[in-house]
Amino acid sequence: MSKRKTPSNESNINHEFCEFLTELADYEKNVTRDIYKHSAYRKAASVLASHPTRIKSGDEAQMLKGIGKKIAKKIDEFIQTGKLRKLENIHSDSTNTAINLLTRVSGIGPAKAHSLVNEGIMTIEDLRKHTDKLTHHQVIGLRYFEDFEKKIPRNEVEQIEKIIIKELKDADPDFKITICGSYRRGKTESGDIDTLITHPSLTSDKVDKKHKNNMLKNIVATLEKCGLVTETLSLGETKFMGACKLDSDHPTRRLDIRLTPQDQYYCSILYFTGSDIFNKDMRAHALENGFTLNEYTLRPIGSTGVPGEPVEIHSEEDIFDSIDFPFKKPEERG
Amino acid sequence: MPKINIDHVISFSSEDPIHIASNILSNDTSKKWKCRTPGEKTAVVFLQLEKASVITGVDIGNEHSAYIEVLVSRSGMNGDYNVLLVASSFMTPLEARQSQNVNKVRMFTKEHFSKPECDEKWDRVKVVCTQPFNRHVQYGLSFINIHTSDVKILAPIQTHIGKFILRPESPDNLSAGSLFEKRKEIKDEKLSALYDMIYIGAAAIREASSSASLAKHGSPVCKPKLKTLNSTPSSRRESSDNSEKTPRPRNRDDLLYSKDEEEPNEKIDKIIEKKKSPRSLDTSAGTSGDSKNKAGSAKEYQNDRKRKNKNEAGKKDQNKKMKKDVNTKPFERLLEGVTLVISGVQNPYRGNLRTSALSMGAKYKPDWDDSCTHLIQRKRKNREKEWIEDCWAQKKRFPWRRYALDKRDIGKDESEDEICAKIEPTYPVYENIENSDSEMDYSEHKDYASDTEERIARIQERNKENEKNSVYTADTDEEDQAEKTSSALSNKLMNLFINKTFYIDQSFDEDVYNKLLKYIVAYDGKSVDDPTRDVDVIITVKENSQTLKEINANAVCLNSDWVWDCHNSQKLVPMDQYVY
Repeated sequence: MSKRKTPSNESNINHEFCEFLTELADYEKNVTRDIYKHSAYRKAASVLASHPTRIKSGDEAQMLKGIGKKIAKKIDEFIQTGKLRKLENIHSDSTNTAINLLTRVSGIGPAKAHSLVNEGIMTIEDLRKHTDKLTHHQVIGLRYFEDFEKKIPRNEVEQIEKIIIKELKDADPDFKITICGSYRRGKTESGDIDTLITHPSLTSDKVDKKHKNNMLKNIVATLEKCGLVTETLSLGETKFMGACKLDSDHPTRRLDIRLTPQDQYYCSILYFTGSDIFNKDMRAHALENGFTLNEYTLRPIGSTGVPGEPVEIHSEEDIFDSIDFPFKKPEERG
Repeated sequence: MPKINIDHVISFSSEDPIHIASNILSNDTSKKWKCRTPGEKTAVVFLQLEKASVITGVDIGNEHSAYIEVLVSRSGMNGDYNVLLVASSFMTPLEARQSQNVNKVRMFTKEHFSKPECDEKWDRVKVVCTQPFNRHVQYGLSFINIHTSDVKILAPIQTHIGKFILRPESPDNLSAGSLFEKRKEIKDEKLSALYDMIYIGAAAIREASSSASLAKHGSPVCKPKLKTLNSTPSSRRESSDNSEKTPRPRNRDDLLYSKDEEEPNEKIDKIIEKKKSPRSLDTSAGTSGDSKNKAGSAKEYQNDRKRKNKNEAGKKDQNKKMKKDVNTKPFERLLEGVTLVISGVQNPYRGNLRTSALSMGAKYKPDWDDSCTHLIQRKRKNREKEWIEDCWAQKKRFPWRRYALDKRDIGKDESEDEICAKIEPTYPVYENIENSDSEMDYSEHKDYASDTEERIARIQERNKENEKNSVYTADTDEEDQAEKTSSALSNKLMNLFINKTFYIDQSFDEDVYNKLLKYIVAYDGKSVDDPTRDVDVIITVKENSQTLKEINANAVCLNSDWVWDCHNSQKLVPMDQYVY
């Protein structure tokens, strides 16, 4: 997941609202660590981003799903004054800005940012002087801080995708590879590259850990050998986090690879394609229909709320179908 | 795994007027339970189990539900149900919409169940069905079988096999063993209470273990069982007090009400029907060996009986005691299923007979035809007339065999006698039977061979023979040579192999195999045809012993000689010499 998610770009008609709401969302996430307020702001921003007309008042905004009294009030304040006092206060507090800044480093979360700021580390430069306080992941994140902040153009992802598919299919034609994330949703640029891989020999009931373990290691080794993968942030049995570089003319990019069992592949694809707000909607809908959906499985919920046996899923459509949710193409999953 | 009896349906969310909820208790798989209206959100049924037990397996037959969930509770738990089996898929969304595979059957075992629920005892089960994918169908269950590892649970009493209705209760269980036990009981009143407990306990154990073997066959659809043990709640309680492992004095009834009705014996029946005469000689030889060995005690026993017969009060007392344990039928249904023809009996005798028989539920035909089951002959030839009278007088359905005609006509009709040989090797004959009408007897034999009730009857008859202090004649040479007084005991097979489970190596010749099987079963042993199961003794040949030992390390691999030596000496011979 890329560090900064923006539901809208500058071309959007409600872009300004989205911008300040996203900023508030980041503040809630990184500084106050109130994930629910964070979600509320993000949702509001997302709703506004997809709204076809320019919002003229808080009342109008409040008609939209996901915008309540308080956010409507802030929209009113923004329309009337062109700014937001709460945001001004946040910006004026150097601790807040420092925390927000440090969390942009891959591997540094709100908690780590807090403790760093408490130790007086307020800038990226400060941080570079104190790499001893950082984990391997954070050191790499810091090293490529600028690169990782850059958006990845779609055609670069396409090239990276081609390389991954070629290399892995050469090794084993049974691999199934999907680049998820905003790329799959058809966005022109992405924050990182989310790759999902499965293999017929992987099933959730046949937990052959050693096999699985080696499989991802082998995948990563293959991609390192061809020069694509340059850094490893972390490598487990099912998840690789690292960095790749197409060639010397391109910046280093964040690359995640996840290995999922065949029977959970489509739930994973759905999940990692996002968007996260779409995922939330879809999960909520699943719940209304008596199902629980996560990145692994879709399961019916029993009469006492205990999730049942995973539903057999053979495509993304199956998931939509099972919970009676109209199918949306990846491009429509804003 | 024995099946847990589902007592009744406590409640349900809704039911179709035709496909009612209690249909899932029925073993007729064509009967299902469906919710009343299409598109109901859930269809729920609450079941009461016979007693609280650990549930180790659930077999579910679906009826158009997409998901089925099983929850458990106890009567004392204020209606809180815990999930035992999470909502499990029986139809995919596509199947549901197209109504395909609507009757999928799935079998769940302990590893499917939630913890810790799988280790606790429950007596209530709630089944929740949902069909979110198709709002235009009524859905529900076609059956549910619940299994337990708890061996003390009694298997359900099945009353239907297809369209055939079985008697819900067992007939009189007067048999050799029980009578013998009861003799002691009369002599020593103090023992009587203990005896009752043991008697019921042993029966229950036998019942449970044999139904366990049935369950292991793993058919999702309930197998019809001719289970007729009269299982009152108190008897069940008592049975649970007795541990399975402890060998108990038992009697033939145990055999009757469980094992004989299980598969292995159905097999034997077939064998017996196929294989003809030679066997009966073997067996009667065996029993005469028995009589020799037990001559002393037999005398004592005989004397007891003499005393007893003189003492009419004592007899009545005993009858009463027996009734306590015996399954009963209303008097007016005593002779249910009997269609009589009376021949050679004059009025007014004839009329009396007819009235008596009809009042006990028998049917009467003026002329012989295919539907007739019993022919009442004139007294000179046949005791069957007295059969009716005895039944009437003692309000018991005595086995007709006791009154049958054909005892001496071995040459002609020996093949049918083979079954008797198994349980009742010598066929004692009343001295007042002068002649026999073999043709008639033959027609009767035809339908008894596979009839459990009749087999029961045969054993009971033997018992009755013991009770009667009449002079015995035997139908084999050996029998004649044996002391007459000992013949009473010879009728009773020892339960040498009681509580033992046998596996007989399939590599024996068919003849040998059948013979072994027959002897083992006759001596109350239990035979299974899967060596990996709970087997105590494996009878095999040397070449296979090693393999079988590997398959089942818990069992003893023995030479078949052991069985013969046990039989010859009429006791459990030490195994040492026979072990491979």
